[in-house]
Amino acid sequence: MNNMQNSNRRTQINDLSDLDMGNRIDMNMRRNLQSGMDMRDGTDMRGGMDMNIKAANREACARLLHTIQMYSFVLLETNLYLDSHPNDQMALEYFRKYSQLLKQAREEYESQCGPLSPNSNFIATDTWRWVEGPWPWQPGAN
Amino acid sequence: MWLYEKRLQYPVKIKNPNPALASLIISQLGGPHGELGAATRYLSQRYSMPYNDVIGILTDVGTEELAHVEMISTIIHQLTRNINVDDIKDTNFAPYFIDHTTGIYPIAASGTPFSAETLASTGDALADIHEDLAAEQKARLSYDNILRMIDDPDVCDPIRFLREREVVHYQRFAEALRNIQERLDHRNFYGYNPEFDRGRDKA
Repeated sequence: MNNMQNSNRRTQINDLSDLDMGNRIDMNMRRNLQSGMDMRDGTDMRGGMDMNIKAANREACARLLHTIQMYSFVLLETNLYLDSHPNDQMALEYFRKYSQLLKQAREEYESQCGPLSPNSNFIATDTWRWVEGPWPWQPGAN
Repeated sequence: MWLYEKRLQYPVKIKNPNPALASLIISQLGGPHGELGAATRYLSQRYSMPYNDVIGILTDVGTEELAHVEMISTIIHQLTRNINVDDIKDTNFAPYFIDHTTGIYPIAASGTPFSAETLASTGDALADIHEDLAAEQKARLSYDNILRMIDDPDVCDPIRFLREREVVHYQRFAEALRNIQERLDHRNFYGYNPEFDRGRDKA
């Protein structure tokens, strides 16, 4: 790797390091989720969309999803960089770190807010929660 | 949001190249009943669909169609691998070769490039699901016609798998249609469009 690429890489990674604040957001969200009531009260309208989600939990879920979007985007950017720099140890370590953070954030979100994919560990409860709303483009989506 | 998984849905391992056959099967990539149109159709129809269970079916079938795009592309690629110009010259693959060599490009067997005119997204729940039921049957008959033309078991096997998936999807869309109709006025399913005329569903 030449010097030019090296310095670009450092800039990129420094810019992303402020995403570590996601950890602090996580702590706030965990408190909200623990203090809130069950976010789904079973009210079924319009093909199973749950309209009556408690506002506090919805906000906590929205923040958790935002964290997931941040971590996923960090991983995507690092992924694209690694595609052309597959032996960059610093980038590999960076990827591993955020991979772990994403895994934790996804588990937290899915246990409280619903499955993100049919592969979720939290999907096969007593009902198939995959088809419950809101879908990402609908009102009330996280 | 989509994630890619580095595997085919069903294995494709074709030993013998056959460019003439590739120029027929490519219709299931870019033709009027092809997988690219199927994915675009279902994934586009989701947004104004008011029923979450139907959105689930459109999402999951649409996603599977993307995996079928990859399977058909793999079949075309393997049928045109390690060939020379003499293998192509006198076949109906020759016109495709002039523009695309052995790259993958969505085109019908007749030579027409992929067109969104082969699909519909009407913003009307009943019209869309009927479109989807018809689309699955049209894809099924195209696979039937392909199977009439081929005897290489390496090609028949994944084509039969894809054909069977059309039949399964047809069943699921039939259930989606039933679920939509159950929420409408059974005396007049067409009294209003639940995707546009809000607040008139049965509670």
